[in-house]
Amino acid sequence: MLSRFNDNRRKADHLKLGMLTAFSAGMVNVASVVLFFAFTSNITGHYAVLAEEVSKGNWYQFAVVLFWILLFLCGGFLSNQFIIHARKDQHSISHAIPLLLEVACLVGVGLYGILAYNETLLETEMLVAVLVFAMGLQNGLTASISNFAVKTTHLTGLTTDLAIHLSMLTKARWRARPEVRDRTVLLASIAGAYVAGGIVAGSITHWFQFKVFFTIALVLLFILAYDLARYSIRQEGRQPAAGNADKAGPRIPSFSMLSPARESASAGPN
Amino acid sequence: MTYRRLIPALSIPALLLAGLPVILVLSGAAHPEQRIAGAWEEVLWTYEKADPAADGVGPGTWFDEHLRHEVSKDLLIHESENWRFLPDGTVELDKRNRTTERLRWKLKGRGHILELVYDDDRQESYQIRSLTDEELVLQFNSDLVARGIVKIVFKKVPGSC
Repeated sequence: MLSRFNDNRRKADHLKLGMLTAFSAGMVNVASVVLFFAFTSNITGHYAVLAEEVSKGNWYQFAVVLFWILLFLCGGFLSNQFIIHARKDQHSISHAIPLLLEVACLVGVGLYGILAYNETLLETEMLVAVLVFAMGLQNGLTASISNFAVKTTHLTGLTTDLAIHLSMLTKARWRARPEVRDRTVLLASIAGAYVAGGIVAGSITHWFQFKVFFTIALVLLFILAYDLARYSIRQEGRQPAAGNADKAGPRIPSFSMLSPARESASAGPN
Repeated sequence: MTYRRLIPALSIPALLLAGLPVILVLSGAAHPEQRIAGAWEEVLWTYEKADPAADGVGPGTWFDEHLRHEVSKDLLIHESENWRFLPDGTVELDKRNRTTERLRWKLKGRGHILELVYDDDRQESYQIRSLTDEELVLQFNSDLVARGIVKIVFKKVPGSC
């Protein structure tokens, strides 16, 4: 799920990674809205708020929102640094580090919330900042290792891609292509998992309060444990990767390989 | 060829420099918790958006006493006139019947949500539409009268911190 990189990734890798991380992102976002009245994964909204605060002359709020956006940027930056600077034989470890950092952020927020949170505005802003950074780490990781096929913390681009793919499916020529169908399923699954995560968090946060972040950390630890187990099996040669290819499904091409423009160009004039 | 080496070398400093406005603004701007502290007097209740008035002239946004009573009867702020936000997190609401109710107040989000909490942990949230040294504007959603967003405007009592 994590250790395979770019075009070596299979349909099943994308689906599992996308759904589990989207589920956790949906949970983080809704939990943060319930506990802090602030979104932590939809940065598009923060950009809109940033512009609104500037237009109102609310410079303090402008600085806080800019701080959150920069932390999301730093999270994605750091994630990709781990990935691009890793040796080829260290992909599993380098891909796991951003998720481990994210788990640390979530557990840290949970522990602070239970043990020390006095509900001051500064504390709220800093805890939201940690969660935004964690979402940047996660989105940077999933986007980078999947060659931008999987983005899980926000749904604007994903919904656009889904709309394009659904539109493509209205033509028999595109419907016949398995990669178009697979990607449509992937996008719909990520959107569904994100919403499901949000519903779960919305249902349990009132009872769990800050413990909800431990639940989310468990989802991420499951991803890490699953990947570690699969990686160990592959390394031992008991289950060679080539033998798994058919079970796991075909490789998913990157989005650019599926873009209508490219397809039109390759298909030639009609 | 130098720029090819220069761009990667500058990427991390550029990222750090982008944080400079945050530090500059946060060190200079008034903190919302400091700004809201003090005494505030309610001066206006109105709907954010409303249908035209009964006579067809202008929007019917102004509240009369009866409407205000209906909208706020289930809220903590019912019949409050003066609000005093104390730095220790207590807010004192002076009622029209000369009694004072004490609640806890907190700011959430980016300082745009005011949360009022009873002693038994019941709570209500109000959106801060505007907070300046002179004026505080709160909004809340009201199901009553099916009109939507209610706006309360306060003026700061001069001399209160």
